[in-house]
Amino acid sequence: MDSPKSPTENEINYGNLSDDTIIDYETLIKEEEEQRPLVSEYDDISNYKVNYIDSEIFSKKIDQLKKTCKGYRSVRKDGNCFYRSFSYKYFELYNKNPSSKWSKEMKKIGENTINVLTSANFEKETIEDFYEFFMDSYDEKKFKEASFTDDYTSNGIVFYLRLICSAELKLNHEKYEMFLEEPLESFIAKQVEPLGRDVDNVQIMAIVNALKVCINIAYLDSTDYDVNWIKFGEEYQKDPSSPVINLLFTPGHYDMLYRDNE
Amino acid sequence: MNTTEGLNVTKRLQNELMQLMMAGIPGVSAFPESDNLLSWVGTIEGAPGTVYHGLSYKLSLKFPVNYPYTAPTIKFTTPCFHPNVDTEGNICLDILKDKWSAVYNVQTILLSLQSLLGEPNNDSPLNTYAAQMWNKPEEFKKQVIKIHNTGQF
Repeated sequence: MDSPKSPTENEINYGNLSDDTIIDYETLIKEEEEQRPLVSEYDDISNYKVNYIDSEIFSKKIDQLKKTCKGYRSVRKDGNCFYRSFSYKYFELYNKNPSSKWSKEMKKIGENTINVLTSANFEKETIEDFYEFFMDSYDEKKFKEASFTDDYTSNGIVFYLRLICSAELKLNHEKYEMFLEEPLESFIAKQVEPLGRDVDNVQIMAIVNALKVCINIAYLDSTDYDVNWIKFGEEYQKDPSSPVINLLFTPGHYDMLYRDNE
Repeated sequence: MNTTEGLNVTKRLQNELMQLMMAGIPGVSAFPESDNLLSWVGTIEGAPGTVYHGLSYKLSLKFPVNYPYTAPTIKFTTPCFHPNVDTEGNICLDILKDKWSAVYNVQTILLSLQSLLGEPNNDSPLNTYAAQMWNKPEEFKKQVIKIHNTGQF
């Protein structure tokens, strides 16, 4: 497919960038990104590519990952990558075995989120549509055919997760306020609820606590250390065999990761 | 427009229209402009006790296909002298910009705009002349009425 070639790092003269050039470039990246699928097909981990990390360090880290991980799925880079990666993996794990103890528990918690949200002062009528998109994903057919293929539905799920996060932050604010640099209300209004805002660890913690899931994130950065894994919500992993949401972080972006035992 | 997206936003806006009509909130209303559900005309009345009392303002509401995940574009079409409204009718209101959330709807937007009229945010004015005059209500009111009636800023 012929597509306009975006400037490579070498072709950009950073000293001479005008605001307009930056905006044009950002628009170009955004438009190209919007052509990509929300969630890509599963692929082998050795094919994972990142263009802005020093390649030597990066390939060393991919080699490390290969020891315990077999594959990945990419998600669109639109500022919702954490929510999208998380929810895809969450529903994929659920639909793989809906009758497992873990899945039953997850669905029960999921069903109850509407009550949690209304207790955090969200009006039921204004959130019902999003709740419906979210609950539909517990159905394998809908999960495969709509939840992550249709932008509107998928954004509804992303938004509903943002509301779950927002409600958890409001209801248990004493757990989170110490990590914030601005008042909770303004943090939620600016950083949590609007689509396209990246997550910080606070949002990850809130999602983990609200849905009682364990998330394990592999951090692939440009430092010369080994791949760093950080587990959120280890207490929710009741036994070693219960599912964990594995994600892959590269600076500014989250994708999904599949470990050998999955 | 993607077909499913079009259907989704249409369904959402139909529901909103129904709710808005049933709620019958005094002082605010909105209705699709024609057959195009993505373009509405809204009306807000200035609230009692404000310099806008007795005046009625028309607005244009344009909804993107991914509404409500992206905010609608809203403009005053009746000339409005106000610190946060420019001479073209553009509005500076945080919930329509960086604080937009998909839980908002036409009703909450119209009510927010109605209260913005009486409670401007003078720290980030689009119309600095109006912001400076805000503390002189009599002079301000004269200007509001003149511009509302003549359209001459």
